Amino acid sequence: MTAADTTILAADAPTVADAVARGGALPAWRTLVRRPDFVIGAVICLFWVVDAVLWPVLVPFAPADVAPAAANLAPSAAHWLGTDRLGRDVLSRVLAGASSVLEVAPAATAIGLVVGTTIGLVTGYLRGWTDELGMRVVDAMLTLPTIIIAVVAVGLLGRSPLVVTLVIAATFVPLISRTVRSTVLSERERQYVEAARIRGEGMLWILGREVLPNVTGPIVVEGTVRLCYAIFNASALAFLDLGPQDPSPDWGLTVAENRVYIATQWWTVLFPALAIASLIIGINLLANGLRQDPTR
Amino acid sequence: MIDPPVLDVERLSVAYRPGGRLRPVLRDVSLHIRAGETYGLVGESGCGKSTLAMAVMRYLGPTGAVTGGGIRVDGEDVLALDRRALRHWRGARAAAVYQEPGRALNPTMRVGEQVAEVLRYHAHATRAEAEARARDLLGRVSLADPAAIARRWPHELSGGQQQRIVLAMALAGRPRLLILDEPTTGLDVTVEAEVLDVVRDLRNELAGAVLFISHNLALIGESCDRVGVLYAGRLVEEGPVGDVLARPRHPYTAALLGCVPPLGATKHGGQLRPIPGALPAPGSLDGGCPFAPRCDRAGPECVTEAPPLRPIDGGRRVACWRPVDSAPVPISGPAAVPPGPPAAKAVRDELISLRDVTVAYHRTVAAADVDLAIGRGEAVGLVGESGSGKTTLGRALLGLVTPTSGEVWLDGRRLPAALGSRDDATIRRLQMVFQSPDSTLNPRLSVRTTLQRAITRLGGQRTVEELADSVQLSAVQLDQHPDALSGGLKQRVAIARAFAGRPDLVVCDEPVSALDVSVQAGILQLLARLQREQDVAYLFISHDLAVTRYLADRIAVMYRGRLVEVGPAAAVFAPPHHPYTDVLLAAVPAIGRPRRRLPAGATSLSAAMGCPLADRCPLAVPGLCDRDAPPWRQLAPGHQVRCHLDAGGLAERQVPGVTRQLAT
Repeated sequence: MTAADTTILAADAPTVADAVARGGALPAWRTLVRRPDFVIGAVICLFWVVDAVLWPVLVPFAPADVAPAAANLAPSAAHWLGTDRLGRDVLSRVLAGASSVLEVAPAATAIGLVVGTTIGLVTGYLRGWTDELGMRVVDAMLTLPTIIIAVVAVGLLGRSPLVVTLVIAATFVPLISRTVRSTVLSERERQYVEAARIRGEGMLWILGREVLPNVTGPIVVEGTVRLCYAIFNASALAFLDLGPQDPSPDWGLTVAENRVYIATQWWTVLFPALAIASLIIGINLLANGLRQDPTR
Repeated sequence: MIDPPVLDVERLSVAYRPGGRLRPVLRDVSLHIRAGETYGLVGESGCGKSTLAMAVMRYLGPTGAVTGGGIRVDGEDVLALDRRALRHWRGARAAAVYQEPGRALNPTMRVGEQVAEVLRYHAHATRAEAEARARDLLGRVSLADPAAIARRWPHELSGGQQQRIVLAMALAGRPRLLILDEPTTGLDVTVEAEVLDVVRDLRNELAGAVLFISHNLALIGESCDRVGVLYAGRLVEEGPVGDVLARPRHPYTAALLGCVPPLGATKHGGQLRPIPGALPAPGSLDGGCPFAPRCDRAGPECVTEAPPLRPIDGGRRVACWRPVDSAPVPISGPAAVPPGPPAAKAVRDELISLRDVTVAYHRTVAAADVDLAIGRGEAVGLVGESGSGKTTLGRALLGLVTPTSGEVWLDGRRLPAALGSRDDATIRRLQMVFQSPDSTLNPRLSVRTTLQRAITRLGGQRTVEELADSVQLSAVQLDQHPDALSGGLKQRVAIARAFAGRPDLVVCDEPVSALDVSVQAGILQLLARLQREQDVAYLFISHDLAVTRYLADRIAVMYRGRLVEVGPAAAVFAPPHHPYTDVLLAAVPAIGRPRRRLPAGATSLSAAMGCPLADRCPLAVPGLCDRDAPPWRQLAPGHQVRCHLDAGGLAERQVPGVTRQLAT
């Protein structure tokens, strides 16, 4: 996702997200439910969310149980997705791994949204030197690759889900603040904002009550897109050994640990990778639905 | 008549189906336009005017469909054309020009190339031929120096020039039918006159037919031979334009004519009559006459059966069971505001004033050396072409822009220039009503929330209900969101918001220019009543001279950032007055009066020295006006013009016949 992509999102015509945020929720939901991509996306996402909470009940085996006798088994009736080199059940580990990424990604997205939206609102509304300063800082942040930030952060603060969350959130802040700023720039020219100024309203009221409710549509869409990247980034950091450690069933970590055996025990890599892909595709489909123009 | 009509629309019905359900927008519309004829189509927004134009051009989108009837252009069945044939048909047989010429032009191509492209496509001209003929076309749409204009980019041209380029493109394929959909809406009256002249010349040259769509009856009256009045998708009246406008037979036509203030009417003369109610939603009202719910002549037969469009005398047709017989009275009843004390009062009892105010954005001077005082309870109209700095002055009063130099005084005290430095009491006293009803209200807040907040902030004493009642909003509307309200109702909410804390001055920036005339009349009545009841002062900014004259006690005229005339409304509208005011008044289209043309002037902004009007002024004295800045002259107490000519000189040179009759 580059800055160019985010501006396209911001410039989008009325979306279902707008309509939902505007309060005309019922007809908007009806539009959404008619869209097959939204429904499929919602089912996939719902499955993984339920799984992330209920995996202890769902798994056929304890995901961390080592069984040398049952090591490296191909998928079979007993182990549907096979076992890894320590004899752990791959299906159980895939089911248990969802919680790891779903702890980090939504929290990172939420933090990114809150901080990014605040910066975007203030810089877009005030313009002038605040905007200049804010956007130059944002530009500077954009030049730092996620990996570099992660390596430094893990080195300084140690390895924990919190650090991973904060690293991902930090990389989101500049992108989200840019999107929000660009919508605020056009929204602040609307006459109701001037009417509020003429009424003597302070900046807090104008941003919170007048502007923010009118830019929630693009923010919701931006949030869903960011969530995909949060999952992707969390898995990537785990893969690079900057996230959870063995014996965590984290998908990215599992792929990393088993990738050398891909030729012989392909199931140990394929299924966690598919799990990552399915979650990202699910959220993308959901976001597509939200981005639709409800009048069409 | 032997020739077949160029445009033959026969019992045309069109429906849109948003979300599956068919909603008819045009029903059984039949009209014919012959070669050399201009046919005006008039009606409120939403009545189906543009849908008809789009149906003829086959531009109805995927949600629109012709559900009955036929369209023929020069005998050819338009509805039978396939995709390929349409591409050649459009442009070569029929062409359309719409509002907002800027959107019809490709911003990445020089305008000459855009015209040449049409010629290469339709006339298969070579590149060199096409370019030569494009320059020729640009000359024919009265663009001075076509060769230079051809090399310009669209953004380098004014709105009037852009529209003439679009006209040149439309004419490049030598179409038989030219559709003009609100071609001059958004252009200044002076530019409008020029564009219409071009249209008239070209029609004569092409010997084709013109379908002219407009909401402006005066414009239709001036440019068309016949007129059709469209209401709720039905043609309700048709006939020669002079007859229809002078003696309307359909109550809707009469009502439309009744809500436009004629140039010269004032709030002291009587009430404007808005049309009650609103246009029925498409698809509703299947029985009866669609106008019956709003018609004061409606009887039982009107509700049960829709009247057919039947011929009456004089080549006219009307769809009404009970046609009107008398001529319309545009303004009647008791005065909206009783005649007040002489305008000299304003000078004595000053409320707020701009003193030597200059506002510059970067290097552009939006307003220069403006001195303007507004008296307590006085309505001051501010008129001028777009870009003359009217809005800037209003914003400077409110503190929304900070003047580069000069001061704003309120009640004899100097005000801080910026809004942020003004105290709450000052903020309460100075309010504003904006132009666009669509962006004036926060779409996420209900009407009640909006008004409640305004009352809280501005220290209003009234309840939301009382405030809403004062602008004739019903309790139902209080709990609605803006998207459920019509433009007129939104503007009422905006007015209520501005009046929440009993302001002393309300700046009204084009408050009715985005509204239909039937709704505009109601808003003007409301503003006049509020002024009378609450003794509020207005700075009423408008490009519409008739509307300004109706509401204003005094009028200030701006040209290129400078005030050129200030005086009592009646005096400003009658000679002797500033030559620019004369030009503006002469350019206003009015029913039953030919409009005078402007001398074509180079509209360069080079006049740094001398009078800014010198290059366009019919009375300019060479060697004086283009060299020396004109002084302020007093024509009468309280009436000043900035001109080298004195009262005698102006009176001698200004034609009293035209403007004096308007002023009475």
